[in-house]
Formats: sequence, C-alpha cells, structure tokens
Amino acid sequence: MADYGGWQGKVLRVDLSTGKISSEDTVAKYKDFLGGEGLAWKVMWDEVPPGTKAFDPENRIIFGVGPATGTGWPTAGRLSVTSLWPISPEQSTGSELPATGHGGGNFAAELKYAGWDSIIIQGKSADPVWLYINDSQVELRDARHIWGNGIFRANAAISAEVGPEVMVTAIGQAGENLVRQSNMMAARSHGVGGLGGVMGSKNLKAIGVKGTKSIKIAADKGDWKALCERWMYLCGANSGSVVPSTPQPWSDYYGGGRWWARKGLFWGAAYPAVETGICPPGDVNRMGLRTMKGSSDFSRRDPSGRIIGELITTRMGGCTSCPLRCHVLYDNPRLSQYGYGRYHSNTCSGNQGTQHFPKQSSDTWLETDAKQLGSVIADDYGTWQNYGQLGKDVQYLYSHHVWEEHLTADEWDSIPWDLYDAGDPKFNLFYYKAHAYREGEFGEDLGLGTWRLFEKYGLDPHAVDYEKKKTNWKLGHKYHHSGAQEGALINMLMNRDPQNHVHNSYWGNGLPFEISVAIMDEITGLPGSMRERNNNVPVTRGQARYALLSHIMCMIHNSVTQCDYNGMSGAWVTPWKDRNYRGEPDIEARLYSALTGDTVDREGYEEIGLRMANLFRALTTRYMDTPNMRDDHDQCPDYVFEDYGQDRAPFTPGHDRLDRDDIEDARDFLYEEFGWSSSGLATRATLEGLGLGDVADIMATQNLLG
Amino acid sequence: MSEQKVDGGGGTTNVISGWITSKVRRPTTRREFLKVAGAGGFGAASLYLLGCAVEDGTTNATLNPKTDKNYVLSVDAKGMVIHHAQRCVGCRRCELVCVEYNEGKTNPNMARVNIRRNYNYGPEGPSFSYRGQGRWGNHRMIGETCRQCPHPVPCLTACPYGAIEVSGPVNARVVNQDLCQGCRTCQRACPWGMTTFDEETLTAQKCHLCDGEPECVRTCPTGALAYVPWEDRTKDIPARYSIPAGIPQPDWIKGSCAECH
Repeated sequence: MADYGGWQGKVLRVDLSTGKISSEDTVAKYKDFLGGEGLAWKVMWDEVPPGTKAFDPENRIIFGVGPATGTGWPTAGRLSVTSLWPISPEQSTGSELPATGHGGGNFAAELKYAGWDSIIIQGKSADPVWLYINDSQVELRDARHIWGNGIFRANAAISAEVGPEVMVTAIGQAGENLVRQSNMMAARSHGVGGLGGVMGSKNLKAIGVKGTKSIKIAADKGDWKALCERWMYLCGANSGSVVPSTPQPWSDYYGGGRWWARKGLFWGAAYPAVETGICPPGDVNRMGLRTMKGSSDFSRRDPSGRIIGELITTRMGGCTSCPLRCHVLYDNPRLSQYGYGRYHSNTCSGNQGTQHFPKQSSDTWLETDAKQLGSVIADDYGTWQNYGQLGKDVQYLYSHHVWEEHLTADEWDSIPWDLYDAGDPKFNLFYYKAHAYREGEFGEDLGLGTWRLFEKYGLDPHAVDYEKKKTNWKLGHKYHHSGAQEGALINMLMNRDPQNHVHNSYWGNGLPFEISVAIMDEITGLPGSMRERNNNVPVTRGQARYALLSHIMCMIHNSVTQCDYNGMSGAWVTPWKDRNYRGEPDIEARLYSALTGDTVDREGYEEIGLRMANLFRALTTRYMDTPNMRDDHDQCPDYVFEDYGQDRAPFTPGHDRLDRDDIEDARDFLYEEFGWSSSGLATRATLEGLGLGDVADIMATQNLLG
Repeated sequence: MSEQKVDGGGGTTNVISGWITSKVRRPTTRREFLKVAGAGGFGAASLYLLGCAVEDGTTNATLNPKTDKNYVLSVDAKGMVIHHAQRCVGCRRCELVCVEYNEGKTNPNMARVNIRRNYNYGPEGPSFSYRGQGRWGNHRMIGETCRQCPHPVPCLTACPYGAIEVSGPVNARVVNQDLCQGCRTCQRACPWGMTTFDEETLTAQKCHLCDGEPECVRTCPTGALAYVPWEDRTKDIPARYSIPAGIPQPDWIKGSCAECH
C-alpha cells in the first residue's frame, strides 16, 4: 500500500462458518470511503445482495474504524457498526435496510492499536464464540461459558481470561435471544443500538481487543500538534454549544446548549467533589468540565432542593481522545436495594429508563432510581429502546388496551401493571427481563421494533404519531433532533433515526439566530440557509444545501471516525467573539491531510462524503428495489403537517407546523443539490463523477438509475 | 551531606556538597549531549536539554559508562507529574500527546503516563463484584506517572549500558536513545512499570518531563495532571511489581555502592 498515515493498512475478515481469519488491504480497496460507515457501505454493496435478511449468515456485520480513530485528533474515538438493521421493515426484496449503530469508549481506538482498520464478520459459528484480537494474533475462542450472561459479566470474564487492559464489545441475553431491538455495549461506554441480534445470530458473544502498535502520522509532529491544539482552541462544548447556558463573564450570550459548567455546580459524588466552575474558551485544562450532563439528564431536585444529578455525578466519561465529555458517570447507592450495583453511566436517551411509563413517580428519588435501574438493566441485558420510540409504543398499546385484548388472561394478570401505573422502579426488573428473554407475548412484542409491533396488531405504525407528536418518523424509526425543513430532509434520508448532530449541533449552538444564519449562509454560499426555531418560512435552496452538508459531514465523521455528537464545532462555529464566532471550515480537511498525507482541501474532503452518501443511496435503493425513492423511502410523517387542536396555518410564527407542498419543494431542492432525479434516484453522471461508475452499471441493469 | 535549594521555577532540588560532589551523576549540559549524539540522528532527545545547567556551575564531562563507574549518585529531579484521580475522565489525551508530540506517531502503549492499565478495573484487576476502581467499578481513574525516583534510581542503576541519564533543565531521568541497546532491563527494574518500549526503534522510553513543560499536563482537559515541585513519592505509593532479584548489577557501577555504604 501507499505509505499513508492514519490507516494501519489491513482490514480483518472473520468467517464464522468456516473459522477462516484473513486480512485485506485497506487502502487498495477502501480508501475512497475512508473507513467506518463508508467502508461498510462498500462491503454491503459488494457482498450482501438484496434478499439477504439481517439474521442470515450471509449478512455482514462491520465494526468500522477509520484513519483518525485512536489518534490524538480530538474526539476520534468512535466506532461505527453497520449491518442490515433488524427492526427495519422487510422490503420487497426480502431484506431489511442497512444502517449503522454508534459506539465508543476505548474499543475503537484499541482496534487501531492492534493494527486493524475495521473488522468484517460473516457466517455463523456452530457454537458460541468470542473473537480475541491481540495485535496480529486473532483467534476465535470458546464462549459457551459466557453465553447466557449479561454484558457486565461477559466483560469481567474476558478480562479475567486475557488481562484487564482488553477492550470488549459484547452482547447480552437480548442479542443472544435474537431480539430484533437489542444492542451491544462497547467498552462500558455507548451502547451500539440495534445490532445485538445480528451478533447473536452469528453466535458471536463478544470481541475483545488488545493492541500495542503505532499509528503513523504523516505530518511533522510540530504541525500535527499545532493543528490538534488549533481544533481544541476553536471548538465549544459538547453537542456544538459555543455559548454558556448561564451568564458568564467571558461571553456576550448565554442560554441553550450544553455548556452547563458554572460556579457552584459540582461533580458532587467525586471524592473530593469537583467544581465545574467557569470554563472559558481557550482554557484547555477545563474543557472536560464544560459539559456537566449529570445535572441535565437527572435534573429533578431532591426534597431539599438540590439537583439529584449533581449529587450523584462522579465525573464525566466518554471516548478515547475526546476532551468534551458526554457520558454521565454516577454513584447512586439506592440502586443496590434492587440488586444492582450503585455505579453506572450512560448519556441522553440511554439515561432515560422510564420512557415507557405513563407517568413518572412524584418522588424524585424514586423517579431517578427508575431511570437508572432501567438504564443499568438494559445495558446488561443489551436491550435497545430505539432512541425512546419503544417507550412511546408501549404507552400507546397499553393506553389503547391492545395488550389487554390480545394477551391471555394469565399473562395479562402476571404483568405488574400496578407498578407500571405508579412509575415504580421495580417494574423495570420485570420489563427489561421480559424484553431480553422474549418472555411471553408481551416480552416478544418489546423486541419487535415499531413496524413489526404495530403490523402484528393490525395498526398503522404512524398511529402513534397522532397521540404523541414527534415520535415515529418513517419505516419504524424515530425522528432524531429535527428542526425546520432541513431537519425533516435529514430524517427522510436515513434508514434509522438519523443520529445527525452536524445539523442539530449547529442549530442549537446557542448563538442568536441572526449570527447563526449569517455564518451558515457563508458556509452554503446561499441566502436563508436555516430557519429560526418554531418560525418557519417557505424553504430555500440554502436549507437543502445545509441538509446535504450535514448529511455528508455526518457520514465523514462516522467513517474517519470523529465524534458526530460534536457536530462541526470549531469548523463552522466557535465561541470566539474576536472571530465573529466563525470557525475554520477546512480544519477537518487539514487534520485529515496532515494525518494521512492524502492532501485534500475542504471541497475534496466533502467529495468523499458525497461519494459515501451516494453509495448509501444506491444501496438503499437496491434493497428497496424501487424507482420511486421519493415516495417509498423519503417519507415525512403526517404529524409535521398538523397543528393539533389549534389549526394554525403553516408558517405562522411561533410554531413548527410544516406545509406539504413546501416539503415537496424541499425534496426537489435536495435532489438537485445531490444531482439526483426528481424521483430521488442517483444518476449515472453523479455516480460516475464520484468514481462510482461500477455502481451506476449495476443500478442501470436493474432500472434503478435516475 | 546535602542542602536544599529552591530553583527559579519554584521547585526544590538537593545539591549534594563535599567530597561526594565529584561522584554525583549530574545533568549533562546541552553542548556535551550534542557532542555525544553527533551531528545527525539525534531525534527527540534534544528536546530535553534546552537551557540545562548544573547547580554549582561546574562543567561535567559526559559519562562514559565503561570507565566512569563511580558516577552512580543522581541529583534529585526538580519537578514531577502527578495525577489527580478524582478529576480524571479517562480520555487518555495525555497518553496520546505524550507520544504524538514527542515521537510524531500514535502509540499510547509507549506513553510515559499510564491511564490505560487501570482504566477498566483499577489496580486491583477484573472483578465480578463491580466494587473496585476504574470504569467498571467506582469510576475512579488511577493514572500512573513516573516518580522521577531519588537515588538509587532503579531504572538508571539497572541499565547495563548507562543509557539512563539525569538530564535537562529539570534533572529528569532520561533514556539516551543513542546508548540504549533495547535490553528491556529498565522495564523490569521499575517497581511501578513506568518504563515503556518503542517496538519500532527497539529502545526504551521513559518520562523526561518535556523540559519542565509536560505535554500531558498541557493537554489534560480537566486539570487532572499537574507538574509540581519534586517530592519523594517512592515510599508511599505501593510498588506495582516486585523487582526480580536476578537483575545483575551492571559493570559500570559495580563496587561504587561500597564507597558510600
């Protein structure tokens, strides 16, 4: 291979059916797609034909990392796991659609240190195994003694077997039991949603990695240091916030965002407690204190008025190399009374283990216990809640008496509904176990995913939308942080909740709208590129370009890999007033060039993202086998066009109702920006322009070319 | 035998006086070190030596490990890096920049600050009870740093080639990359396992304090690492490893101990 930095040069391939372990050249085969998610689209395109189902041995599951992963490129500790998505509706070809789950911790970086640029797993083992990677020594080990255990015990067992430094990604009982809605846990950090069952279908319990190898950096070490420090200087807090949430001496603005640090706010369960305090931009040694998520995720107050999340936070965690911590690590001794350890961690939706309850307990400690107990059990069993959609589904089916009518009387009576109605933590002991072990009809239902669950009972999967706004978006997946038309477009493009923080983190950066839109107009080169929250006006081409840039930069982040949670903080926007809050739009391209030696400018870097996005589009189109992606895939749920109970016209200031014709215009703009046909199909010219002529040839034979 | 002197940076150092002065293993000066290193192939080692000086102003000849067997005593370091377990978030940026900004490549396994080995389960190791330290326990991150040991410096006195020297402006114990033969004896000799190894250059690595401005401290996003005046922490931090009795005393110091003890 050419002597690039970043990449280790080899992708690991493991065939579980034959036990064959092999490697292939990263650069020769996958460099055009960077790694991670992009590499996985290429593998899926080449190797997983339409008709394959998620749990078939022929399906691949790709543990993707990229050139940046594991280096000091700030936030480059992410893992992208890609496969056919088990809760996606089955398409006319027989396949589910492909999608990616995201994880982190130290697993992804360790994979690079072991010398691997990703792992492709195929086939199915006859007996449960776990994959042990110790640099170039790779072997399948017996996992029969671990099978049946939760993720925590699997980690401990593997660590005891090969040493405490091993970084493990494992499934729990849910994945083993082929629960469609299940996950895996990467090194006690983020749960990789959605794909636990795929590992289970292959009899693969876990992957454990230890690595000692170096990653080459192409640039001079002084230049590399300057660039990494430049990024640290320019970026804000977690999720792209560039202003503090409370008034602080260094900032002209405040409010919104996730720059929660302030005087008097502590990691209260650290020993001794650590004050987050004032963390001005430029103060590198306080960057990790900027985002104090504990007091946000657990914001209820105890009877004495103290924020519970502050009392129990031990520190903030996250992934390798990331100075902006997003994981709440907490100590809640009360969890011991339910038979679980007092120490746990998660973030955002993963911390909300009570989304299925119709109401939360009025006792704020009990409510916190319930949330955390749900989180810790889910992380051990490896159940997944589809970014909160499952909770909405459960509430709907319960309140509409669907289960009451369909379950047997014995089963109905066996479910502790009194605890459910009260929001009692003890309900979670029953609930998550039923989900993981597919216990009864109820437990079976919890793991099906929205689409199959509603289909089973003859209900419209979108029915839940009318009860609880902003839930199911399309194809059984939830919306994820959408705003205005550009947010709607992003949610249309993906096969799961889009997990796109490029768009959302910029939208929620905290600056006054007029500054944000002025910067975005410079980024897109078009006027009116974003809309003020709850103040929509007819869509512009600039918004479509903002959506496109968000889509492709998100894919680049998931491929290179760099945390997308942080969006384009530092690149598009910065906390620095003396820069008029402008970031350096090419800084990611400069980091990539310096690391790899493959010199590209901003445009060249974005072209890589466009290539991935177009391959993903072709892949989705091929699995759906439809010439009409516009109507069949790029759907927008009815609820965005409704204004429940008030019936204000679209574009009335003060609310977010969208207009059907306007969204059609938005689609047109987006397709034109991508170079796609009006039916949403990639064209030969577009594909060939991105070096995807071979993809165009195949799409042409199937009449799927725009 | 010794007196305390406060240096310009606020650190303290032991300046040993009297007859034993001539036998003290002193910091080399920049000029002398360059002479040893030669015109080319000097590499990262030059970073350690900017502005270095000897307390009493005398000039020291560069050590010759084959003949200067009496130079075994080492002046104390002026500073050290310490780790605050309650502030550490386990991001490991310290490990990354330690190697990237010094050697120009990524490899946390040769970093001279160590978060990784205690990250999951703390120093106690894997536990099914989840009550220990580390990410799977109580979240406490036990980071480990070089103690910059006082005399007798275990790694320095164990090296058969005299490749570990007291060097630079802050008297760090530094591996002279040109003398290191890659025998790994220093790794076995460190009670805390803080000496690492570069598998590409086949030489040992250890904390050189980046001339008193440690990169790990500069980059730590929560201020969990600090550069402080040196103090002797070798007595109160439990050793991680017992030192094999089989490490022979190198020829170049044989007999020298008896001169003082």
